[in-house]
Amino acid sequence: MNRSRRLIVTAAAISVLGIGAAFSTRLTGTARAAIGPVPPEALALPADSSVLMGFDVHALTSSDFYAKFGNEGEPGHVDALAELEKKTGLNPARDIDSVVIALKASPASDKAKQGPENALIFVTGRFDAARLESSIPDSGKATKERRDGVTIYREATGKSNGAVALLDAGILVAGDSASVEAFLANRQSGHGVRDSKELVSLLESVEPGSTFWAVGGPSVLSRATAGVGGPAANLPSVKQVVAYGHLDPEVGVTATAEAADAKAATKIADVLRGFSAMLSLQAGQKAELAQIADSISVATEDDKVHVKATITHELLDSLKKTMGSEHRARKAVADVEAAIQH
Amino acid sequence: METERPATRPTWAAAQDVFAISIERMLPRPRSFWVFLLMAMPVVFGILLRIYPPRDLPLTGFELYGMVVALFFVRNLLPLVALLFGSALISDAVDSKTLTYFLTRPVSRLSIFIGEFMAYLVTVMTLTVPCVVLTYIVLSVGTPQGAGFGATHLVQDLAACALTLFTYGALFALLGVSLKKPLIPGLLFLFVWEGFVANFPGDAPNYTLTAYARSLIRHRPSEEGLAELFSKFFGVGESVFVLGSVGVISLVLAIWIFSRREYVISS
Repeated sequence: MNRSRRLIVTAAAISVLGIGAAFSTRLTGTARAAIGPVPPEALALPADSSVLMGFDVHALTSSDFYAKFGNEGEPGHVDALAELEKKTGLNPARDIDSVVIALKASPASDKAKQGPENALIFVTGRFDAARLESSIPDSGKATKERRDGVTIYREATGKSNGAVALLDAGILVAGDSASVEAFLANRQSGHGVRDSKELVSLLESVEPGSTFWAVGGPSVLSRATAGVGGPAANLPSVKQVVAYGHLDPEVGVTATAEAADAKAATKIADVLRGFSAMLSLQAGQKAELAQIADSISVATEDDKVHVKATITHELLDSLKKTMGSEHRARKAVADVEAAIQH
Repeated sequence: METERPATRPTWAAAQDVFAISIERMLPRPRSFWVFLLMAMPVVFGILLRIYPPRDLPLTGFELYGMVVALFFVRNLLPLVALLFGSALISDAVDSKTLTYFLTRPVSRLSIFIGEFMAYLVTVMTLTVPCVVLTYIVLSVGTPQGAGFGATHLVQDLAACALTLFTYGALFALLGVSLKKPLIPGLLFLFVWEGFVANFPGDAPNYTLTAYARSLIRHRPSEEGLAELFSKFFGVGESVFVLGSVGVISLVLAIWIFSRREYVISS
C-alpha cells in the first residue's frame, strides 16, 4: 500500500494545511479585534442597539458608482454625508473613512423620542479639531469640555440635546448627549456591542469588504412594517435582518431575513416575488424595470428568506435617463396647465 | 479424503484486507490521474484568474468558489467520477483477477464489497478534497473577505462532497453489479434525468439526487431569471436524509445482488 499511502497522506496534508490556514486566518486575523464590519473602536456602541448600519465612505466616494451617480438628485447622493459636510465642514471624500450608525428603538408609546435623537453616529477619518470648531456655526452656542483626552462639544442653545465627542484625531462620535456619554462610559468599562450575542452573531454574518451593511433586530423592523400600508402591512413579522452590498463593478445587495417559521418565510418570499413580478409587468412602459425584476432573486431556507439583487451601472443610468425625461415631460405639462389657468 | 474448509474471516478484518489490496488497484492508476487533472481544473483557472483578474468580474472570490463547488463539483464532476469508479467497482476486480483471489480465500462476499466500497470512497475523497480546498484557498486568499470568511462553509462543502460521492457511488455500484454494461445507462441517468428533470418546475426535482446535493451548498450566489424560478431547494436536514437513505438502500441492494450473483472467472 506504499504508493497509495503516500498519495493519501499527501492529499490529507494539503487538505489539513488548507483548512487550518483558513481557520487560523479566521481566528487570528484582523477580524479578531473587530466584529464583522464594526471596527474595534466602535465596539463601545450600545449592546441594546436595535439596528446597526454602516458604510465604507472611502470605498463609496472612490467608486465608479459615486463618480457617475453621486451628484445631488442622483441615486448615489448620500444626504447624510452632504448634511455632515454642511454642518461640520468635513469633506467625506477627504476626511472620512467609515461611518457606523447605531439606532435604538424607543418604546412605542414614547413618540417624542423617535427620530434622529436615537441615532449614535461613529465616524472614523481625519479630524482637525481646530477646523471642526471653526466650522460649527455659531460656535458660541456650543460648549466645549475636555475630559480624559476626549473633547466633547454640546449644543448650548437648548434646542436639542446633541453632542459631538472627538475621541482623537481619527474618531468622532455624534448623537444625543446621553448616548454619547453612554458610549464614553462603555469605552472605559469595555462594555458595548460584544455584550449582545445576537448582534455579534448578526455582524459576523456580514460579508467583509462590503461597502454598506445593516443588521437589525425585531423591534425596529416590526415597527417599520407596521408603519407601511399595502401588502407590506400584512407581512409576517421578521425576527432579524442582515443586509450588505457593494457598488462596483455593479450595485449588488444581499439580504437575509429570519422569519418566525418556515411558513412565514415562504409568505415573505411570495410577497417579494410578487413585487418582482409587478415590476416585470410594467416592462411595457419601462423596459429597465423588467431587467431590475430579473436581477432580483428570492430564495427561502427553512425560516430564512434570502434576497439578492445585482443592478449594473448601465441599467441605473438608463433608468435615470428615462425617469429624467418623464420628470421633464410632467413638468412641461404642469407649466402648460398653469399657463392655461392664468 | 475430505479437506476441512478454513473458517471464514471476521467481516471487518477481511474488509480491511480487501481494502488494502483494492486501494492499490484504484488509486495509483492512470484513470485516477486523469480524474485528478479534471478536478484540479478550477485550481488552475483560479490561479489564472488571480494573476489576470478581469476588470468587471461581478463576483467576489468566495462567491466564485461557491459556484465552482455547487456547479462544477457537486452537480457535474462528482457524479461523473462516482459513475467511473462506482460502476466499475466489481468489474475492475474481475478484470484484474483480484476477485478471483478474494473468492478463493475464506472471505465473505459482504467483506469483499465493503472493502471495495471503502477503497472507492478513499480514492475519490483523496482526489476531491485537496482540489476543493485548494480552489477555496486560491480564490479567497488576499481578497477583501479573506480566507477565514468561508472557513466553516469549506468544511460543510467537503461534507457535502463526501455525501454526494457516497450516494452516487452506492447507486452506481448497484448499477455495476446489476448490469453488464452500466456506463451508458449511468450517463443517461446523469445527463438526461439529473441534468434536466432537476430544473423542471413543480415537484419533478424531488425525484432527482442532484437537487438534494446542490441544496447542501448554501452559500453560492442565487440563480437568476428562469433558473431561479424553477430551481428547487431543500432544507439541509431533508437533503442529508434523502441522500443518505438512497446511498444506504443502494449499498444494501448492491451487496445483496453481489452476494447472490455467480461470476464466471476466465483464465
